[in-house]
Amino acid sequence: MRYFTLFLLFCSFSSFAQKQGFFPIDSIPANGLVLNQGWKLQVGDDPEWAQSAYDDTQWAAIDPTQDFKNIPELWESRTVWFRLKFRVDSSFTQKTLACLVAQTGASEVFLNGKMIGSFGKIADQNGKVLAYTPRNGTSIGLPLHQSGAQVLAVRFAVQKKLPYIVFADRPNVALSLHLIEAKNLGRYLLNDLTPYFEFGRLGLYLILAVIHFALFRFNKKEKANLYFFLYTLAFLFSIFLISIVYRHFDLAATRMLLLSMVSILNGLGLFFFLQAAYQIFGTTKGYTFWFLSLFFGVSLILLYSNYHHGFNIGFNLLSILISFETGRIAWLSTRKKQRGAGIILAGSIGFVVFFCLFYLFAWGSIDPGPNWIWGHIAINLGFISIPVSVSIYLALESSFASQSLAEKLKEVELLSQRTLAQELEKQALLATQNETLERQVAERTTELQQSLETLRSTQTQLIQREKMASLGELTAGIAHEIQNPLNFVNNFAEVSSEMIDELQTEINQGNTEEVQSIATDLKQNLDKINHHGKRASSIVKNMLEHSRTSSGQKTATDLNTLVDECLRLSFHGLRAQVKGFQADYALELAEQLPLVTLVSQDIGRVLLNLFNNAFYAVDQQQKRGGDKDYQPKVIASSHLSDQGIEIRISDNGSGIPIALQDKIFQPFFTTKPSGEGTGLGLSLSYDIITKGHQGNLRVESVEGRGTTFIIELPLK
Amino acid sequence: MSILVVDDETDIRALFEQKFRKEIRDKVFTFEFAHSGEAALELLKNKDSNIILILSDINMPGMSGLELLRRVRGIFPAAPPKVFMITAYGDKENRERANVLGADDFLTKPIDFSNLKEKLHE
Repeated sequence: MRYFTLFLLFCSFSSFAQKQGFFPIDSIPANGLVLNQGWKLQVGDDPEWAQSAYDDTQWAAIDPTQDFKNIPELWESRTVWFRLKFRVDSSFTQKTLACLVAQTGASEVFLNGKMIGSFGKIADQNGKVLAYTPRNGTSIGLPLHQSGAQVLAVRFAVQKKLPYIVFADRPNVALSLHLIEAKNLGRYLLNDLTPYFEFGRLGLYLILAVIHFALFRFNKKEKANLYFFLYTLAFLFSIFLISIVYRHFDLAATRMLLLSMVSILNGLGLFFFLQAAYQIFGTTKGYTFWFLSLFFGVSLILLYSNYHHGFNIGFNLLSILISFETGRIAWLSTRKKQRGAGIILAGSIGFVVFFCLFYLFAWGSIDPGPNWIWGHIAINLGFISIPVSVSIYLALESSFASQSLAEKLKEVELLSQRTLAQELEKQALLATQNETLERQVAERTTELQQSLETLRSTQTQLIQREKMASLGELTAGIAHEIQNPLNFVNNFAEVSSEMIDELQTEINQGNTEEVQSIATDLKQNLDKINHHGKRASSIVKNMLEHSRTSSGQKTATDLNTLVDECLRLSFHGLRAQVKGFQADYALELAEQLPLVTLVSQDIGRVLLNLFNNAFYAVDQQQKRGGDKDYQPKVIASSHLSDQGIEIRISDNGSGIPIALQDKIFQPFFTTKPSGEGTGLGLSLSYDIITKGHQGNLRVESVEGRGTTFIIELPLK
Repeated sequence: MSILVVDDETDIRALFEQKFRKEIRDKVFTFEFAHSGEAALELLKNKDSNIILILSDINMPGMSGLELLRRVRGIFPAAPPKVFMITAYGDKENRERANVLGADDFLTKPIDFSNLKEKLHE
């Protein structure tokens, strides 16, 4: 509509205006009139050029509302002047007029030679240009006090070396003066609905950022949430910047910096969104991703070297390409029937569609207007379509997750119930088994107790049998040992009786010398009778002691005598018992052996056992008959040392093989033919010496040469 | 006429010397004593000995009476001394073995000296 009106005005007055050199303005539409025709341009700087009377017919015609990059003169020199001559009728003097100002540079505006406004600084304190891009709705009053010819002159300079960003393809106009009635200024301010959209969008992105951060915070394994969070965060800042940049910043340098940040944040945000999509759909990053990354990098370089294409590529094209890529992987996942892929796909499509609509409505538009509003609606729908799709996707996911959890919970409950039932069953089974076990243990214990008692009784019997066996072996020896002294008692008694008869005869004959001799012999005989009587008595006593259960009473004992007696008993016992037994024995007893406190029955039993074994060994060796000169011999010796008394019982029998030397002290171990030995002799002896007397019993034996048993007894 | 008494009991000497005090005094017999088989053999090997009778106990440490008998029979094959073995009461086995080895007679402990005297006088 605006363009149509301008076109009509142009057709009506162009010929006249050209004649007079003044551009006629008869009326001003409600939306105002952009002064884009009739302008002239001159490079340089002269205060005279502000004056109405100045003749500018030689100046070049120019449209200052175009992008300042398209006006090379602006970049050739420091300052330029624009001049517009226009004519108004008397109706204009009744109106309060204003000019909405848009520019990219520094300007000083003169009306009919008088300065009416100044934006930016053509020369600051350092003599540099400070460009100014007035915020939306910035205006200057236009005091037209009289009708007829008017001259607008603008002294203008651009600030070079700034990255001028072209946002949404809005040209960075050099200078746009929009003539409008002051009363209509409000519509450009009041009709600006963009803050509502922007704050709505900010709120939405803020909520999404918090939600995604929380989701990531509590489930760090799900990286998609992190990327969604970064995406929303980047857009949050981007929207924030865009919402303030046109309202609060007038300095071109600041605005361009913020716009470049918007561009970078958008690009980054989109990349994060793409990453999230890759994560959700489990897609590996392929060539497309790296191509887009390269694209982004190139666009950043372009942004600063060629602001126009840089922004278009980095922001606009990249947004669409990334949306396409997201859509592509979402579509592939939809075909794989991945849950929620369709939602993300719809979001991506929505973004692309709304983005295109935005450009359709608002491409290159610098002025607010009806299309501007539609454009904003489109871009806002575009920007929320992605987060909305993500939110729906998440809601769907969490719904599935909770459904799945509920199902799992049911399963777990069912399993728990089963497990509990099984556990109870197990416990019941265990209890039964325990009872059975306890009963069995009790039964077995009773059986074991009985066995133990039987065993103990058997052991006692065995020990007794062992004792009786050794006694049995001795019986003949004992008989011999008793017989000998008894013989002497009898013989000496008999001879004494005879000698008494002789004594009487000699007394009667008065043969005093003979009487004396017989009396002496008689005395001697009586001593011998006494000695042999005691000897027999001692043997009987010893035998009784041996057969009796040990009293355990320790008495001071002469070991030499005990060794002597036992050796003799053993020797005579075997000689009487074993056919053809022949052996020699020797006693090598230490003189002045102290009395030792010991249980004499027990030690006697040990000695008898060792002597019996020794004599048995030499007898066996003799009977083997390997050596004609073999002289069977048993030697018993006693020694006194600091440690105590040592008794060695050596034989020159066959010896004990090394393999058996460890076993001989074990109970029931015997090498004697079955029935001849109990196998308890050495075992009992060992216990008597070690446990009963804290001594030691050990063996030294060389096979084929003989054996020595060594008893070591402590003195105390 | 010398008689050798072999017994490991040393008191046998006193007993014999008292029992035969008359015979010894009248030099009817002389007695020699050995307390082991080995000692007895030493005495017998002495050429000056005039032993015509050996009275030997069987049960002795070292060389037994039976072994002594066997050796004596080995040493004097031509004109051997008589050997009387002194055995324990009822020791049939040794008696039989001594018989086989050539014992001339047996005495049972306790020694019946009147019986022995008769035999000696024979």
